Parts: sequence; structure tokens; C-alpha cells
Amino acid sequence: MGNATSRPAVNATSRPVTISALQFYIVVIASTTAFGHFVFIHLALMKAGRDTWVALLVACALGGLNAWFALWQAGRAPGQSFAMFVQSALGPWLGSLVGALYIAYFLVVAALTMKVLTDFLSIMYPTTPPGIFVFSVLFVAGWGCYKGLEVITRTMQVILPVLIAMGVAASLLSLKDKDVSRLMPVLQNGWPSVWGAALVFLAMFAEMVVFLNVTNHVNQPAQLHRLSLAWIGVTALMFLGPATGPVMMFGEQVARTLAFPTYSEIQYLHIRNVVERLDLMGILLWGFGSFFLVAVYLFGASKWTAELVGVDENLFVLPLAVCAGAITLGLGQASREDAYAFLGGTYVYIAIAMGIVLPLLVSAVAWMRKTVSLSPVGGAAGNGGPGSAFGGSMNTTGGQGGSVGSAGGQTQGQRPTDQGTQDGGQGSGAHGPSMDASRDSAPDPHADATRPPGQGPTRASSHPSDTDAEQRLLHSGVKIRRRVRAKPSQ
Amino acid sequence: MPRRDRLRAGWRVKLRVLGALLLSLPLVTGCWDRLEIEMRATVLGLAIDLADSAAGGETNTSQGGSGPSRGASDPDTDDTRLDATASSGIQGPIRQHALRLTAQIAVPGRIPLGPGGGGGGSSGSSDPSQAVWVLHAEGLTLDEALQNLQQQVADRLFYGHLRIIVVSEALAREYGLQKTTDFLLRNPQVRRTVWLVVARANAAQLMETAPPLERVPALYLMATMDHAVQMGKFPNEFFGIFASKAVMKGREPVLPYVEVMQRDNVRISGLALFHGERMVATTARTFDITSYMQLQGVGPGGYSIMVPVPGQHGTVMWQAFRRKSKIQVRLQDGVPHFTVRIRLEGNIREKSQSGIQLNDPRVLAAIEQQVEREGREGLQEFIQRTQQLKIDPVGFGEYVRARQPRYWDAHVHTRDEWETLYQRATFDIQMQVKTDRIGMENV
Repeated sequence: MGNATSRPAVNATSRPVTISALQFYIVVIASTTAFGHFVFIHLALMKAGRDTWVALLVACALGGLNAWFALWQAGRAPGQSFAMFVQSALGPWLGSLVGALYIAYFLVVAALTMKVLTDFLSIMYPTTPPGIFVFSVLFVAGWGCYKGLEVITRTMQVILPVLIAMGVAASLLSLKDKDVSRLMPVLQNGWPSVWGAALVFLAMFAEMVVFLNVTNHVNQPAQLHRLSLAWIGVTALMFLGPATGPVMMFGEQVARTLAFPTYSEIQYLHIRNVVERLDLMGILLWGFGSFFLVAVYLFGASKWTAELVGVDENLFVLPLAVCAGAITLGLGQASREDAYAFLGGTYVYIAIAMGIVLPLLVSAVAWMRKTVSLSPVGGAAGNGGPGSAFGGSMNTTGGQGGSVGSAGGQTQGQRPTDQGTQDGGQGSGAHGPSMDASRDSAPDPHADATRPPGQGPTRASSHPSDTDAEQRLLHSGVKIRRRVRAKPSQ
Repeated sequence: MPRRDRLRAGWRVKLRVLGALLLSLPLVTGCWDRLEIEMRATVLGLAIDLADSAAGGETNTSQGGSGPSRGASDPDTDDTRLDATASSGIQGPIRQHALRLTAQIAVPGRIPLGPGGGGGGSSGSSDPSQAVWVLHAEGLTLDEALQNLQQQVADRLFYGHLRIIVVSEALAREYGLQKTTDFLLRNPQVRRTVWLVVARANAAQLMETAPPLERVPALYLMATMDHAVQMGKFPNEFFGIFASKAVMKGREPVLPYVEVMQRDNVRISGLALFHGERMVATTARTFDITSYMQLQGVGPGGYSIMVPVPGQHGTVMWQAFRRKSKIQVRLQDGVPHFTVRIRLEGNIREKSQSGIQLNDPRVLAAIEQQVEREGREGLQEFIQRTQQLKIDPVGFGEYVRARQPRYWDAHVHTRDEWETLYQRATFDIQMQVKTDRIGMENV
């Protein structure tokens, strides 16, 4: 598992952080599960009651399909993050606008996460100012982001098994207090309430759009969509217990009215008079889960900002963390009920729009532009059109954006060319060099400027027979060039 | 490297170390909400009476024996009690709706840490009245009464170790428990696994018992209930379960019904039967508890039954140690018909005549048939009584709701409608009894 490799802070020849597909899913599961149990189960229970588990299965099917498609697409454009994809598909202006939307969305999600967490912790710690919780979470999450994806991933790798063990233990220990007949009859209130709850879960799956910004760090991105089926199965299993447990334990009416149903379930746990009061387990689960979620969203926001502006992402961690903290404290005026009303209502549609609809739209635009660029009558063929955003799926070469270029000149399974990578971030096709099939092997006139010292110009025309390690190194060229641009003195 | 650069590098390192130390300060300050144990008033037990009835039946309003630091121990000169009554006493017609709260608060340093003897001081005291402080307050709701109680106590009241809540029968019958349970459900400190029991007479009396077996009276009450559950003599019907059942349409909650037999002697008399959150009846006899547990399939079995041995003079004492039940529902002539299958396993503990040959399988079979017959009769009586009372503590209605949802939707919409229907429901009770052991004697 642990093949994450660290990237020295400033080293032009260093490799980007790479994680395995399994590590990618560890990040996904750790970030979504605990917090999903905490918030989304409650929202779904309020809507669907005892049929929440049906809604979960429906959402898993739809969310799994969406994840499969998104990851399949990511696998076809190795080395390309979602931010790069948006930029290349929509062009610099619209792409930047959409990017800004996503950055704001990520910050709002991080803030909402901290808001809900502080509301929960304030019950246990009534005199502690909420700002202390916000600062603590942001401090640790910000530090994790600053240190990079490897630290976040390894932290989750260490803590996730503990969280899973606690969750499984809680489920097993509460079995004696559960009555399966309370889940019956199924669908007594029909499908509308189930759809309402399914949308809530779908919003949770939609939030995973942030992880598309990590896919370019996965060393074998083509595996991602294959593993997505296993992941959705694991997620369904991990949510089935919390979706059914409160109903089986308290009955439908009480489960609907509980502010923290899964936490209340944990409060019931006791083994004789020896092991009691396992509230701490709930606090740990949701504390860690919230930290993971905040860290990932902060990382996503800072990474996207770095992609937009073209400088090192670490520069943005602190300002973005401050922004998220300010939003959280601004939300402090809202009551917990207000927050849940928003999360169960408007937010569901926002999340689905940002996490599912917009990515699909971007894909559709990219596909249409690619089609036009490939069309003999389109007049854009070989013109370095934006269709190269589809990366490996296209045979057009080069591409317009840096990331586009990195994937643009290859068919699926081929490695990006050095030239394509180095060409990244150049803006729209109009600014980029004109591209045709022969552009694939043409040397990039800008390559020398971005090449690390000590490497000869032949490095730019690297061969298709480059090793995977070299390929990753080439991918780091995007960052290298940006560093140079941001700090010309270096 | 030039000297100036070396100095700069040194300062940079020092600044970094200083920054790291400063940033780590918030992590070493401890919990913001910390509250030392001697700075909190840990409530171990609560008793809730109607203000009017409690005042009339009150025999001893305060233990007052909290040691010299807590004021006078003589009730007659207990200033704390007098002040409390003056500050929180509710006057006028509204008083008839008021609650009288009795709280048992642990005295720091006097709670015994083990089974050993006392001696006072920090090692604990053998005198139960010195381990806890019993106080009273009044209020229209539980929270108001607790606020008034807080006025009498310097330290913040803490409910994290609240183990038992006793409610008087008069309050449970007249007003129900709505005024009581809402605060308890909302307060994050209160465990849902706390015992909620109904006292036959004055609830405060249970807070003032001083059983010799346990130096903390509230813990003795809790142990009474816990051990009854472990021995199979009572279902684990704690507060959280009561709250869940109270809102079900097809099931009524029950609570333990206790009484003080003598001073310091507490007896579980049966079950308090509720309609929603209002108490309507009690079980007619202690044996009804086992009928309820058999129908619920609650294990382990614990009750004994004395049965005559068919064809012989004398009786045997048969005790169940394992229960299982299965309830099925179908519609018959437009009303629910329940088939209840119960399997009991037990031991023979005693025989009254030496002539009874327990090593004879035919005798054992006859005894099992007799246990089965009497057990079935007991179950039928229990069900008939609940049908007469129009309350369904076993939750047959939940079986109808779960297994016959169309019928439920068509005929039942409210709790009252189910209870009317419950009176017409029919039952087929099948019991299977097996004797496992007859003890160390083989005759």
C-alpha cells in the first residue's frame, strides 16, 4: 500500500506525490464515511424514516454510476486533475469562473463541516468557544494540506482502521438492543420520501467531486474506475448499519427526531457495568471524520487555486484556511436547526449541481468541442483545439492547456509526451501553438525555459519508451515551470 | 558561509522553534470545559413527587448528614432545607401542578471506593447518609425544580452519573411523565440507560433509604434493578426504551413498579403499565412479570413456579433459565390472530415429598406438562387483563403494523384505534417446556 513518495519542497527534478488507487479510496472512505454517518444519516432519516436503507441503496447505485464515469474519465487522462480538465474544456475565462465557483464551494463545504462539528461538540463542551474548535481543526487540517497529499493520506491510513474497528464494534455491541421488525413494512410511505432521502445521499456522493483533483496523483489511474464498484459496495455496507441502527433501536418516530441518531445509538452501548458511556467513541469518530473532510476540501481548494493562478499551492493554504474559518464563524449565528434545514434542503441541490451536473456538463462541452475539432468540416481539426481536454481518448495532439497537453497527445494507455506536458498551462488553443498530428514529436520552443538546470534539451524530446517514473517526472514539469514563472529569480 | 549568513540562519532556526512552541501552546492547556470532581455536584438519583402529596407524606425532608462542611445534620435545624423551601416553594392554586424533587447528591471524598470499611474522611464512610446529600426543591417542571435545586447548591449540578429516577405513582397516573422525560431526553449528560421506576407511594422515600448492603442508596436501587435483570427476574426496560415505546402506535411502555416494604427494603412489585406516558395500571401480581418476559422472549429465565406433580402428592419448584418466543400474526375473521410459541427450559430446584421420583422420565414429562399448562394459563390471564385495560405492553400492534401493513393502514391510524382493536384480537398460545436438570440428587 504505502508507495506514496514525498515531493521535496523546491526541487525541479523531484517527482510529484503519487498514491496508489487503494490509497485514493482510503482517502475517499475516511473523508466521507464518518461525517456521512454524522450528518447525512440524520438528514435521510428525517425524510425516509425506516426506508432510509432503501434510499441508501438507490443513492449508491446512482452515485456509483457517477463515480465510475468520473473516474473512468480521469483514468483516460492520467496526470490531469479535474481543475485542469475544466480549464481546458471551458477555456481560460469560463474555466476560471467555474474554478472560482468550485473553490468557493469547497470552502463552504469545509465551513459547513466545521459548523456542524462545533455545534455537536458544543453540546459536550458548552463553555468552550466555537472558535477554539474551528481553530483546532483548521490548524491541523491546514498543516496537513501544507505538508501535502502524502501526509493527509498516511494520516488517514493510520486512523481509518481504528475508526472502522470502532464502527464495527459499535454495530456489534448494539445488536442486542435492535429489533429488525421495526424496519418493516418497507416502502409503506411510498417512493417520494425515499427519493428525498436518496437525494441527500446523492449529495454526499456528489461532494466527492473534490477527490477528482487528487486523481492525477494516482500512479495507476486506469484502475480507479474498476475499483469504484468495490468502493461503492464497501460504502453501502458501511452506511447500512447506521442507516438502520437507530430505527431498529429507537423505532422510526424517535429516530426521526433525534438530533444525532447514530451518536444516541452509541450512547446505548454498555457491557455490564464495566464498559459504559462510550460517547467518546462518537466524538472520536466524528472529530476525525470532520478533520479528514476539512483537510481534503482545503487541499482541493488550494490545489485548484494554484492551478488557476499558477503558483505553488502551499501559498494558498493559510489564506484559504482563514477564509474557511471566517465562513464558519459567520455561520455561527445560525442555529443547528438552520444548518440542518439548509443541509437537507438547498444544499442537496447545490451539491448535486456542483458534484454531478456541472462535471457532466463540462464533460459534454469537452466532448462536443472534441467532436468539432475532429470533424473534417469543423475546421478545427489539428488546431490544438480544446478537445484535447479528453486526453487519452483523442488522437489529436498537443492540446491547449498544460494539463491538456499532458494528456492530449496520446491515445489511451500511451504516456504523455514531454512536449505536451511542458506545454501545459499555456491557455487556450488560440494562444497555444497550432497542433496537428506531427506536433506530437515536435520540440517545444518553451521547453528549455522550463527545463531544470542540468538537463539538456534532449530531455524535452523524451521518447515514448520512457519509464513510468520518468513519465511522472515529466508530469511534474507543470509545476516546475510555474515555479519558475512565479519566482523568476530562481 | 559568511558569518552574517550563519547568524541569520541561526536566528531563523530559533524563530521557527519559537513559532512551533507558541503554536503548540493551545494543545497543552487542557480541556476548556474541565470541571474538577470536587467542583461539581454529582446527582446520583432523583425522586419526583407531586408537590402536594409529597409534602403531606414527607417524613424526613433531608438527610442533612453531609458532614460538617455541609451544614447541620439535624433536620429540625437544617437551615438549608428551610431556605430551599422558602426559595422554591410554590404557593397558590398552581401548586397542585407542581413537582417536588428530591435529589441524592454524592459527597466528594465520602463515596466509598471499594467494599472495605469506612472510617470517614477520604476513605469513605460506612454511614450511607454521609456518602450522599439529599435535597429537595419544587418546580412546575423538572427543569424548573432542578434550577431551584441549583440555587441551594454551590457547585454545578452534574447528571452524567445519574443512575436512577423514581417517579411517584400519583404523578405518573395524574399527569403522566411528559413533564419529566422531556428534560431528561434533551439533556446530553443524562444517560438513556438510566433506570426510570415508579414508586408505589412517595418517591422521595426511596431516596432516603439507607440499605446496609450498599453505602450509596441510589447505587443500591440501581443494583437492585440490574441484578434483577441479570437473574432473569425483570426485563431491561430502562428510560430510553420507555421513551421509544411511548411514541409507538402499536405498543405501550412499561416501567418497574417498586415499593419500600420496610425502611431500607425495596421490592420490585411488578410492572407499571402505561398508555403513552400516562400510567394506567399495574400488573396484578409479581408473576405477571414473567408472563410479560415470556411473551417478549426476554432471557434469561429467572422465575420459579411451584407445580403439583400430576398423579402424586406433593409439589416441585421448577425454575426457567432460558426463554424464547416467536409471535406470528394473521388475519382471522377481520381481526388479528396471534400465534405465540414459547419455549422454556428450566431446572427442578426442589420437591416437597420424597416419594416423587424425579429420575423417572414419565414424572418429568408430567411435570413439564403441568408447567406448560399453568404457564399458558398465566399468559392468557395476562393478555386478557391487558385487553380489558386496552393497553398493549407486549407490542402485538407492532407485529400487525410490521407484518400486515395494508390491514394496519386500512383499520388502524392511531394508538387508540389499535387498542380498541386489540380487545378483539385472538390468541393461540403454544408452550414447550423442557427440564434440563434436577440438581445434585438423582431422585
